[in-house]
Amino acid sequence: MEQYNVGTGNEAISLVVDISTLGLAASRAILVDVASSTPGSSVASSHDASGDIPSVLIGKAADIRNRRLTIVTKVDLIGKDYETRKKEFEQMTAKYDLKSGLDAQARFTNPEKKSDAEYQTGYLYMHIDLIA
Amino acid sequence: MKPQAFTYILLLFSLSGICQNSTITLQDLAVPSSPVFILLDAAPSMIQTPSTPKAFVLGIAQSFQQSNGAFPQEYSAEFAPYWMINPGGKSIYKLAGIRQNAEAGNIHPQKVFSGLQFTTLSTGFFNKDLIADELDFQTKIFSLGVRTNILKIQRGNYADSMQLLLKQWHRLAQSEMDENIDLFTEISRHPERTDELQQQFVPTKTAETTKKISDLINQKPLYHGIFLLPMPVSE
Repeated sequence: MEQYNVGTGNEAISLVVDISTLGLAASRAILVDVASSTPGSSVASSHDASGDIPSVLIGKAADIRNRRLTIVTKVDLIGKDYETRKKEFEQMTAKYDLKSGLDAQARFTNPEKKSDAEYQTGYLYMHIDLIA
Repeated sequence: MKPQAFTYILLLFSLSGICQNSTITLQDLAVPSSPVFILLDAAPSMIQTPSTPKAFVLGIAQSFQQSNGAFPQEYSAEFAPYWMINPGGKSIYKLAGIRQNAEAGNIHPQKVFSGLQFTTLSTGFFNKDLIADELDFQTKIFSLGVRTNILKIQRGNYADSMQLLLKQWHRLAQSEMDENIDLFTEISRHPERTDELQQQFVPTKTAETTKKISDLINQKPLYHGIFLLPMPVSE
Protein backbone atom coordinates (compact mmCIF):
# COMPACT_ATOMS: atom_id res chain seq x y z
CA MET A 1 0.00 0.00 0.00
CA GLU A 2 1.31 3.42 -0.96
CA GLN A 3 1.77 5.98 1.83
CA TYR A 4 1.95 9.75 2.09
CA ASN A 5 2.95 11.56 5.27
CA VAL A 6 0.54 14.45 5.70
CA GLY A 7 1.85 15.50 9.12
CA THR A 8 -0.30 16.77 11.98
CA GLY A 9 -0.59 20.46 11.23
CA ASN A 10 -3.20 22.67 9.64
CA GLU A 11 -1.74 22.54 6.15
CA ALA A 12 -4.35 21.87 3.49
CA ILE A 13 -3.37 18.83 1.44
CA SER A 14 -3.95 19.09 -2.29
CA LEU A 15 -4.59 16.41 -4.86
CA VAL A 16 -4.27 16.40 -8.65
CA VAL A 17 -5.29 13.44 -10.81
CA ASP A 18 -4.19 13.16 -14.43
CA ILE A 19 -5.72 10.29 -16.39
CA SER A 20 -4.36 9.49 -19.84
CA THR A 21 -6.71 7.45 -21.99
CA LEU A 22 -8.59 7.74 -25.25
CA GLY A 23 -11.60 6.28 -23.47
CA LEU A 24 -14.36 8.08 -21.57
CA ALA A 25 -13.26 8.60 -17.98
CA ALA A 26 -14.79 9.79 -14.72
CA SER A 27 -12.97 9.92 -11.39
CA ARG A 28 -13.95 10.15 -7.74
CA ALA A 29 -11.70 10.54 -4.69
CA ILE A 30 -12.91 9.33 -1.30
CA LEU A 31 -11.44 9.36 2.17
CA VAL A 32 -12.01 6.25 4.24
CA ASP A 33 -11.40 5.53 7.89
CA VAL A 34 -10.28 1.93 7.58
CA ALA A 35 -10.47 1.38 11.32
CA SER A 36 -14.19 2.04 11.49
CA SER A 37 -17.29 1.08 9.56
CA THR A 38 -18.33 4.62 8.70
CA PRO A 39 -19.01 5.33 5.01
CA GLY A 40 -16.26 6.95 2.98
CA SER A 41 -16.61 10.63 2.23
CA SER A 42 -16.28 11.96 -1.29
CA VAL A 43 -13.68 14.74 -1.42
CA ALA A 44 -13.19 15.33 -5.14
CA SER A 45 -14.44 14.34 -8.55
CA SER A 46 -13.57 14.91 -12.18
CA HIS A 47 -15.21 17.77 -14.04
CA ASP A 48 -15.37 16.24 -17.51
CA ALA A 49 -14.92 13.01 -19.46
CA SER A 50 -11.12 13.25 -19.36
CA GLY A 51 -11.33 11.83 -15.84
CA ASP A 52 -8.82 14.41 -14.62
CA ILE A 53 -9.25 16.03 -11.22
CA PRO A 54 -7.76 19.55 -11.22
CA SER A 55 -5.94 20.68 -8.10
CA VAL A 56 -8.29 20.35 -5.15
CA LEU A 57 -7.85 20.61 -1.38
CA ILE A 58 -8.91 17.37 0.27
CA GLY A 59 -8.61 18.53 3.88
CA LYS A 60 -6.30 19.70 6.64
CA ALA A 61 -3.49 17.33 7.51
CA ALA A 62 -4.66 16.96 11.13
CA ASP A 63 -8.17 16.06 9.96
CA ILE A 64 -7.29 13.49 7.31
CA ARG A 65 -4.31 11.72 8.87
CA ASN A 66 -4.74 8.00 9.35
CA ARG A 67 -7.33 7.91 6.59
CA ARG A 68 -7.00 6.07 3.32
CA LEU A 69 -7.37 8.11 0.14
CA THR A 70 -8.88 6.04 -2.65
CA ILE A 71 -9.27 7.42 -6.15
CA VAL A 72 -11.56 5.43 -8.44
CA THR A 73 -11.73 6.05 -12.19
CA LYS A 74 -14.31 4.47 -14.45
CA VAL A 75 -13.29 4.24 -18.11
CA ASP A 76 -15.57 3.24 -21.00
CA LEU A 77 -13.36 2.08 -23.85
CA ILE A 78 -14.70 2.91 -27.28
CA GLY A 79 -12.55 0.87 -29.65
CA LYS A 80 -14.41 -0.98 -32.38
CA ASP A 81 -12.99 -4.39 -31.59
CA TYR A 82 -11.69 -6.41 -28.66
CA GLU A 83 -8.00 -6.05 -29.54
CA THR A 84 -8.22 -2.27 -29.88
CA ARG A 85 -9.99 -1.92 -26.53
CA LYS A 86 -7.57 -4.32 -24.83
CA LYS A 87 -4.60 -2.37 -26.16
CA GLU A 88 -6.09 0.94 -25.02
CA PHE A 89 -6.83 -0.49 -21.57
CA GLU A 90 -3.24 -1.68 -21.23
CA GLN A 91 -1.86 1.66 -22.38
CA MET A 92 -3.93 3.94 -20.16
CA THR A 93 -1.94 5.58 -17.41
CA ALA A 94 -2.61 7.77 -14.41
CA LYS A 95 -0.68 10.21 -12.26
CA TYR A 96 -1.77 11.15 -8.75
CA ASP A 97 -0.01 14.11 -7.13
CA LEU A 98 -0.26 15.01 -3.46
CA LYS A 99 1.42 18.02 -1.92
CA SER A 100 1.68 20.27 1.13
CA GLY A 101 2.17 17.42 3.61
CA LEU A 102 5.37 16.45 5.39
CA ASP A 103 6.33 14.44 2.31
CA ALA A 104 6.07 17.67 0.28
CA GLN A 105 5.20 16.74 -3.29
CA ALA A 106 4.74 13.08 -4.13
CA ARG A 107 3.57 11.36 -7.29
CA PHE A 108 1.94 7.94 -7.49
CA THR A 109 1.61 6.20 -10.84
CA ASN A 110 0.67 2.59 -10.25
CA PRO A 111 -3.07 2.19 -9.84
CA GLU A 112 -4.65 -1.22 -9.84
CA LYS A 113 -6.36 -1.78 -13.20
CA LYS A 114 -9.48 -3.90 -13.64
CA SER A 115 -11.68 -4.51 -16.64
CA ASP A 116 -14.55 -6.66 -17.76
CA ALA A 117 -13.90 -9.63 -20.04
CA GLU A 118 -14.63 -7.64 -23.21
CA TYR A 119 -12.57 -4.60 -22.21
CA GLN A 120 -15.60 -2.38 -22.59
CA THR A 121 -15.34 -0.84 -19.12
CA GLY A 122 -12.27 -0.55 -16.95
CA TYR A 123 -11.61 0.75 -13.47
CA LEU A 124 -8.49 2.26 -11.96
CA TYR A 125 -8.04 2.13 -8.19
CA MET A 126 -5.34 4.07 -6.40
CA HIS A 127 -5.10 3.58 -2.63
CA ILE A 128 -2.84 5.85 -0.57
CA ASP A 129 -2.60 5.70 3.21
CA LEU A 130 -2.30 9.18 4.68
CA ILE A 131 0.00 8.75 7.65
CA ALA A 132 1.34 11.14 10.25
CA MET B 1 22.00 -8.24 -47.40
CA LYS B 2 22.49 -6.47 -50.66
CA PRO B 3 20.26 -3.43 -50.76
CA GLN B 4 18.68 -2.47 -54.05
CA ALA B 5 16.61 0.43 -55.24
CA PHE B 6 13.05 1.02 -54.16
CA THR B 7 10.64 -1.38 -55.78
CA TYR B 8 8.12 1.33 -55.87
CA ILE B 9 7.02 4.36 -53.94
CA LEU B 10 3.43 5.27 -53.89
CA LEU B 11 2.18 8.53 -52.68
CA LEU B 12 -1.49 8.70 -52.17
CA PHE B 13 -3.19 11.82 -51.18
CA SER B 14 -6.89 11.73 -51.07
CA LEU B 15 -9.17 14.56 -50.34
CA SER B 16 -12.64 13.29 -50.40
CA GLY B 17 -15.85 15.12 -50.09
CA ILE B 18 -18.99 13.19 -49.61
CA CYS B 19 -22.58 14.14 -49.75
CA GLN B 20 -24.88 13.87 -46.80
CA ASN B 21 -26.06 10.30 -46.79
CA SER B 22 -28.05 8.75 -44.01
CA THR B 23 -27.39 5.18 -45.17
CA ILE B 24 -23.70 5.15 -44.30
CA THR B 25 -22.73 2.24 -42.14
CA LEU B 26 -19.86 2.07 -39.73
CA GLN B 27 -18.09 -0.36 -42.05
CA ASP B 28 -17.98 2.38 -44.70
CA LEU B 29 -16.12 4.64 -42.38
CA ALA B 30 -12.94 2.71 -41.87
CA VAL B 31 -9.78 4.24 -43.26
CA PRO B 32 -6.95 1.84 -44.10
CA SER B 33 -4.79 1.78 -41.03
CA SER B 34 -1.60 0.21 -42.32
CA PRO B 35 -0.81 1.30 -45.89
CA VAL B 36 2.27 -0.83 -46.17
CA PHE B 37 0.50 -3.99 -45.17
CA ILE B 38 -2.43 -3.29 -47.48
CA LEU B 39 -0.33 -2.50 -50.57
CA LEU B 40 1.70 -5.63 -50.10
CA ASP B 41 -1.44 -7.64 -49.57
CA ALA B 42 0.30 -8.95 -46.53
CA ALA B 43 -1.56 -9.93 -43.43
CA PRO B 44 0.98 -10.68 -40.74
CA SER B 45 -0.53 -12.77 -38.03
CA MET B 46 0.66 -10.39 -35.39
CA ILE B 47 1.02 -6.67 -35.98
CA GLN B 48 2.78 -5.41 -32.89
CA THR B 49 1.78 -2.08 -31.41
CA PRO B 50 4.67 -1.00 -29.20
CA SER B 51 3.87 1.87 -26.87
CA THR B 52 7.45 2.79 -26.03
CA PRO B 53 10.64 3.10 -28.12
CA LYS B 54 12.16 0.39 -25.95
CA ALA B 55 9.35 -2.03 -26.77
CA PHE B 56 9.76 -1.31 -30.50
CA VAL B 57 13.51 -1.93 -30.50
CA LEU B 58 13.04 -5.06 -28.41
CA GLY B 59 10.43 -6.41 -30.85
CA ILE B 60 12.75 -5.98 -33.83
CA ALA B 61 15.67 -7.49 -31.93
CA GLN B 62 13.61 -10.53 -31.00
CA SER B 63 12.42 -11.07 -34.58
CA PHE B 64 16.00 -10.98 -35.83
CA GLN B 65 16.98 -13.43 -33.13
CA GLN B 66 14.17 -15.82 -34.06
CA SER B 67 14.97 -15.77 -37.78
CA ASN B 68 18.43 -17.37 -37.45
CA GLY B 69 19.55 -15.10 -40.24
CA ALA B 70 20.08 -11.56 -41.31
CA PHE B 71 16.44 -10.99 -42.25
CA PRO B 72 13.44 -11.60 -39.99
CA GLN B 73 10.99 -14.19 -41.24
CA GLU B 74 7.98 -11.97 -40.70
CA TYR B 75 7.64 -8.97 -38.44
CA SER B 76 5.38 -5.98 -38.50
CA ALA B 77 4.65 -3.14 -36.15
CA GLU B 78 2.50 -0.07 -36.13
CA PHE B 79 2.78 2.81 -33.70
CA ALA B 80 1.97 6.47 -33.21
CA PRO B 81 5.22 8.42 -32.56
CA TYR B 82 3.43 11.35 -30.89
CA TRP B 83 1.86 9.15 -28.24
CA MET B 84 5.04 7.13 -27.90
CA ILE B 85 6.87 10.32 -26.93
CA ASN B 86 3.99 11.90 -25.03
CA PRO B 87 2.10 8.96 -23.48
CA GLY B 88 0.51 11.06 -20.73
CA GLY B 89 -1.49 13.45 -22.87
CA LYS B 90 -4.31 11.28 -24.15
CA SER B 91 -7.95 12.20 -23.68
CA ILE B 92 -11.27 11.58 -25.33
CA TYR B 93 -11.29 15.25 -26.36
CA LYS B 94 -8.13 14.78 -28.41
CA LEU B 95 -9.56 11.67 -30.03
CA ALA B 96 -12.79 13.50 -30.86
CA GLY B 97 -10.93 16.59 -32.11
CA ILE B 98 -12.72 19.11 -29.89
CA ARG B 99 -11.70 21.51 -27.14
CA GLN B 100 -11.68 20.14 -23.61
CA ASN B 101 -12.49 23.33 -21.74
CA ALA B 102 -15.33 24.64 -23.86
CA GLU B 103 -17.75 26.96 -22.09
CA ALA B 104 -21.43 26.17 -22.18
CA GLY B 105 -23.31 28.30 -24.67
CA ASN B 106 -20.24 29.11 -26.75
CA ILE B 107 -19.60 27.93 -30.26
CA HIS B 108 -17.48 24.79 -30.11
CA PRO B 109 -15.16 24.74 -33.09
CA GLN B 110 -13.69 21.53 -34.33
CA LYS B 111 -9.94 21.05 -34.19
CA VAL B 112 -9.59 20.04 -37.81
CA PHE B 113 -5.87 19.27 -37.61
CA SER B 114 -6.08 17.21 -34.43
CA GLY B 115 -5.65 14.02 -36.45
CA LEU B 116 -1.98 14.85 -36.96
CA GLN B 117 -1.33 13.67 -33.42
CA PHE B 118 -2.53 10.24 -34.46
CA THR B 119 -0.04 9.88 -37.30
CA THR B 120 1.06 6.27 -37.39
CA LEU B 121 4.17 4.61 -38.73
CA SER B 122 3.95 1.05 -39.95
CA THR B 123 6.99 -1.06 -40.63
CA GLY B 124 7.53 -4.67 -41.47
CA PHE B 125 9.75 -7.40 -42.82
CA PHE B 126 8.14 -9.79 -45.29
CA ASN B 127 9.12 -12.74 -47.47
CA LYS B 128 6.71 -12.57 -50.37
CA ASP B 129 6.30 -13.69 -54.00
CA LEU B 130 5.52 -10.37 -55.66
CA ILE B 131 5.20 -11.62 -59.27
CA ALA B 132 2.13 -13.56 -60.27
CA ASP B 133 3.81 -16.30 -62.32
CA GLU B 134 4.47 -19.99 -61.89
CA LEU B 135 7.80 -19.49 -60.22
CA ASP B 136 7.83 -19.53 -56.49
CA PHE B 137 10.38 -16.84 -55.79
CA GLN B 138 10.24 -15.21 -52.42
CA THR B 139 11.45 -11.65 -52.23
CA LYS B 140 12.67 -10.16 -49.02
CA ILE B 141 10.89 -6.89 -48.39
CA PHE B 142 11.46 -4.23 -45.79
CA SER B 143 8.70 -1.70 -45.67
CA LEU B 144 7.95 1.56 -44.00
CA GLY B 145 4.69 3.44 -44.18
CA VAL B 146 3.21 6.64 -42.85
CA ARG B 147 -0.44 7.39 -42.38
CA THR B 148 -1.80 10.65 -41.11
CA ASN B 149 -5.03 12.60 -41.03
CA ILE B 150 -4.01 16.00 -42.35
CA LEU B 151 -7.45 17.51 -42.21
CA LYS B 152 -10.74 16.24 -40.89
CA ILE B 153 -13.86 18.35 -41.12
CA GLN B 154 -16.88 16.84 -39.46
CA ARG B 155 -20.46 17.47 -40.43
CA GLY B 156 -22.70 20.26 -39.18
CA ASN B 157 -22.87 20.60 -35.45
CA TYR B 158 -20.51 17.72 -34.68
CA ALA B 159 -18.57 19.60 -32.00
CA ASP B 160 -21.69 20.80 -30.17
CA SER B 161 -23.25 17.34 -30.31
CA MET B 162 -20.05 15.78 -29.05
CA GLN B 163 -19.74 18.27 -26.17
CA LEU B 164 -23.31 17.54 -25.11
CA LEU B 165 -22.81 13.78 -25.26
CA LEU B 166 -19.57 13.96 -23.30
CA LYS B 167 -21.23 16.08 -20.61
CA GLN B 168 -24.12 13.65 -20.49
CA TRP B 169 -21.74 10.68 -20.22
CA HIS B 170 -19.82 12.29 -17.37
CA ARG B 171 -22.97 13.19 -15.47
CA LEU B 172 -24.27 9.62 -15.77
CA ALA B 173 -20.90 8.18 -14.74
CA GLN B 174 -20.78 10.41 -11.64
CA SER B 175 -24.35 9.44 -10.77
CA GLU B 176 -23.37 5.79 -11.09
CA MET B 177 -20.37 6.40 -8.83
CA ASP B 178 -22.63 8.03 -6.24
CA GLU B 179 -24.64 4.84 -6.08
CA ASN B 180 -21.49 2.72 -5.80
CA ILE B 181 -19.88 4.85 -3.09
CA ASP B 182 -20.43 2.27 -0.35
CA LEU B 183 -18.81 -0.38 -2.51
CA PHE B 184 -15.89 1.93 -3.23
CA THR B 185 -15.53 2.32 0.53
CA GLU B 186 -15.41 -1.45 0.96
CA ILE B 187 -12.88 -1.76 -1.86
CA SER B 188 -10.80 0.89 -0.12
CA ARG B 189 -10.89 -1.12 3.10
CA HIS B 190 -10.36 -4.46 1.38
CA PRO B 191 -8.52 -4.00 -1.94
CA GLU B 192 -8.03 -7.76 -2.11
CA ARG B 193 -11.81 -8.13 -2.56
CA THR B 194 -12.03 -5.74 -5.51
CA ASP B 195 -13.10 -8.37 -8.06
CA GLU B 196 -15.84 -9.69 -5.80
CA LEU B 197 -17.13 -6.24 -4.83
CA GLN B 198 -17.15 -4.99 -8.43
CA GLN B 199 -19.73 -7.67 -9.20
CA GLN B 200 -22.14 -5.77 -6.94
CA PHE B 201 -21.85 -2.44 -8.78
CA VAL B 202 -25.13 -1.00 -10.05
CA PRO B 203 -25.74 -1.73 -13.75
CA THR B 204 -23.91 0.70 -15.98
CA LYS B 205 -25.79 3.88 -16.87
CA THR B 206 -23.35 5.00 -19.52
CA ALA B 207 -23.46 2.23 -22.15
CA GLU B 208 -26.01 3.88 -24.40
CA THR B 209 -24.26 7.26 -24.36
CA THR B 210 -20.90 5.58 -24.93
CA LYS B 211 -22.28 3.97 -28.07
CA LYS B 212 -23.62 7.30 -29.32
CA ILE B 213 -20.22 8.91 -28.75
CA SER B 214 -18.45 6.06 -30.49
CA ASP B 215 -20.79 6.28 -33.47
CA LEU B 216 -20.30 10.05 -33.70
CA ILE B 217 -16.52 9.77 -33.58
CA ASN B 218 -16.58 7.10 -36.27
CA GLN B 219 -19.03 8.82 -38.57
CA LYS B 220 -17.71 9.57 -42.00
CA PRO B 221 -16.49 13.19 -41.99
CA LEU B 222 -17.56 15.79 -44.49
CA TYR B 223 -13.99 16.20 -45.71
CA HIS B 224 -11.11 13.96 -44.83
CA GLY B 225 -7.58 14.54 -46.06
CA ILE B 226 -5.48 11.46 -45.55
CA PHE B 227 -1.82 11.13 -46.39
CA LEU B 228 -0.46 7.66 -47.01
CA LEU B 229 3.18 7.00 -47.84
CA PRO B 230 4.04 3.34 -48.18
CA MET B 231 7.67 2.54 -49.07
CA PRO B 232 8.39 -1.13 -49.68
CA VAL B 233 12.09 -1.81 -50.33
CA SER B 234 12.96 -5.20 -51.79
CA GLU B 235 16.18 -7.11 -51.95
